[in-house]
Amino acid sequence: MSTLIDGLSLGAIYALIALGYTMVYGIAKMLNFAHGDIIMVGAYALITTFDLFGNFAVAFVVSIVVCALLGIVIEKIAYKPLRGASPLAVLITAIGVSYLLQSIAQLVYGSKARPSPFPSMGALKIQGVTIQISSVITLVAATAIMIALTVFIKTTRLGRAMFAVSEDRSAAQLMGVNVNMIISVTFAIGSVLAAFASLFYMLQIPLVDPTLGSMPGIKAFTAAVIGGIGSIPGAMVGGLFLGIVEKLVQSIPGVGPYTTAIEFAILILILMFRPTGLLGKKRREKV
Amino acid sequence: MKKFFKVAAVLSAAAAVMTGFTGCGSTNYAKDNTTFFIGGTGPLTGENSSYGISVKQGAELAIKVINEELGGLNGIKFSFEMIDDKCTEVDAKNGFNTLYEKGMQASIGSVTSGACASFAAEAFTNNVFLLTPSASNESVITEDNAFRVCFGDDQQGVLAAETLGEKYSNIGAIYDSSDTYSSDLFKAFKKKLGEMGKTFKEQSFTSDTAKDFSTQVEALKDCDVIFLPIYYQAASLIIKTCASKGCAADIFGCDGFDGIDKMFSESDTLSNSVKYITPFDAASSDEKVAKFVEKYKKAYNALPDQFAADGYDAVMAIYEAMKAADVKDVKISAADLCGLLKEKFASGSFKYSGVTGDMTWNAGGSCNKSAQIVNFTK
Repeated sequence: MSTLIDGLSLGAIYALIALGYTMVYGIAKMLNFAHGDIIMVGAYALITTFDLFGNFAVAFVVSIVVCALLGIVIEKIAYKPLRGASPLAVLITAIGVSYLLQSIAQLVYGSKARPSPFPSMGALKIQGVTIQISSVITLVAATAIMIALTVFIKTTRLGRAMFAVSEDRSAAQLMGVNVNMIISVTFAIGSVLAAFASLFYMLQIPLVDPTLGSMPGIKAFTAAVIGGIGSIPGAMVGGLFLGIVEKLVQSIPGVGPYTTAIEFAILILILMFRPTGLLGKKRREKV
Repeated sequence: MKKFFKVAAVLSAAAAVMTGFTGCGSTNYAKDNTTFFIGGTGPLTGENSSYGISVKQGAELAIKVINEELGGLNGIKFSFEMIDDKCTEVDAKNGFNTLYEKGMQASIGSVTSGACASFAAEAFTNNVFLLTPSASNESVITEDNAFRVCFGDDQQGVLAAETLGEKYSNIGAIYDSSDTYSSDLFKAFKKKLGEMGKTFKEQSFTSDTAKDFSTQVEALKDCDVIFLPIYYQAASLIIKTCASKGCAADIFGCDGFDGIDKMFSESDTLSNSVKYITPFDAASSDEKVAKFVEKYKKAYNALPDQFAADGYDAVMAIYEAMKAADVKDVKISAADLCGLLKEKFASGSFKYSGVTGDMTWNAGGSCNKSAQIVNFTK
């Protein structure tokens, strides 16, 4: 039971990060591999402002703003000139941006890990089962964000414009949608999600280092693909699925050390037998 | 053109003279030394740089003490140089060669085990004495010219098993199966507990899952004590996971816990009793230690950690052994000095009383000293 709850809370973090991947992929049609490192930047922004002002709310707002701006800047400088270039070129650029961010963080903050300044929130005991309060918060927040995102895309003017760009970029442009602006907004929202992810990540794993984002980033990408990349509920389902699998596998004696291998094996199987993921749309290529 | 030939002729003549020198057997690179020259390598940049920098500062402090307070040895001063090996075997080997050709007469090897094994291989070929401050793996001291200041991985595992086996009945352990330090320690711990007829629960992790410990803590939640033969970062996360999961087991660690105090901020509460084995405690009331801490603080404006203390002791022990051997010749070759030092260290009767304890060595290269078990509080 506790394993399941641990899995859900880890999965909620994966889901949050996967939402960011999926948003950007669904609308801008590119894999932003620097997403995990935006989480890292968000985490450093959080602890730096917290050290300066000692106020948690201020730190969180600053972290959101920093991440959103960073997302927009990365898109304008690194990705926009490559719009129309081969997907491979964009992918490699994204990996380059990822390493750039990690190296800058290492130069500025040093390679040593720092503890998170936020205290542990303790645990609840319900009928003999201990539940960490941070897990509950993460799970509730991730669900709320997913619902908000769905509502935003379905109902608001901006959201529908984003949906239109994702369906057919040139048609949307012909209908008067400012594609550049929409893509910038997408990156901003994706990065704000990263800022949320960094907060919840730190509540569960109170350690910040320059490579903090890479492993969760890859795992969340796996989650997004399992759930069906481009699909918002898919990211949520994929994230929770992967989190629970990870914790269940880890708790089996003797199999634990192979957890990561098993997770990525699942990714390969999904890609082989259901390339569009659990909730992905089937798209028929017209020849 | 004529001039060119002239230059070439002079150069080739010079080259011939030089090869003439190197040709006649072992070269004494120390023949121009004006001080006794001790060298070593360590990670001064990159991920593990904190260890290398600490050792370097400790060693340099020892040199300063030797030269300024103890007046050198027979009127001859000491010098020290550490080359950055970035924790890699290649750079440790190259670092050795650079230092050797500069006239290094004795060495403190390298800071980390992998790099030190490569340094040790070169030191053995060229017959240079090696006393590593901190490389704890057994592979480092296999040759007869290599010794260490720190505990070996096995020593600590056995000590932990003895301490915990006597005191507790319900024991758990979490180790990093992808790290040699951790697995070697764990193996020795497991073997010793087995010999004592005790059983315990084990959990492991690998470096790619070294962040989230909820599964492991969950599995060991009801233990009286959890043994953590791992480094301080992962250990601090496990302790925090214990706090958030309401696990009240005592925590017992090894010298990898050194630095754990930096991982807890003021707002963190410690809900477990945390103890660890360490040869060095900066808060100790021992006079030697207090003096060392004071000098270190003055020189670097920071508290020395265990690596700094190890670096200090490595240089000091070499100095004491040279003093015991009454080395007078500043131009003594590395090989000759190695012979003298080897004899002292392997004899078992050479004692050095340092900031990490009273030490003697055996011919196998490991160091005998008593361990302290310190309580971590905040």
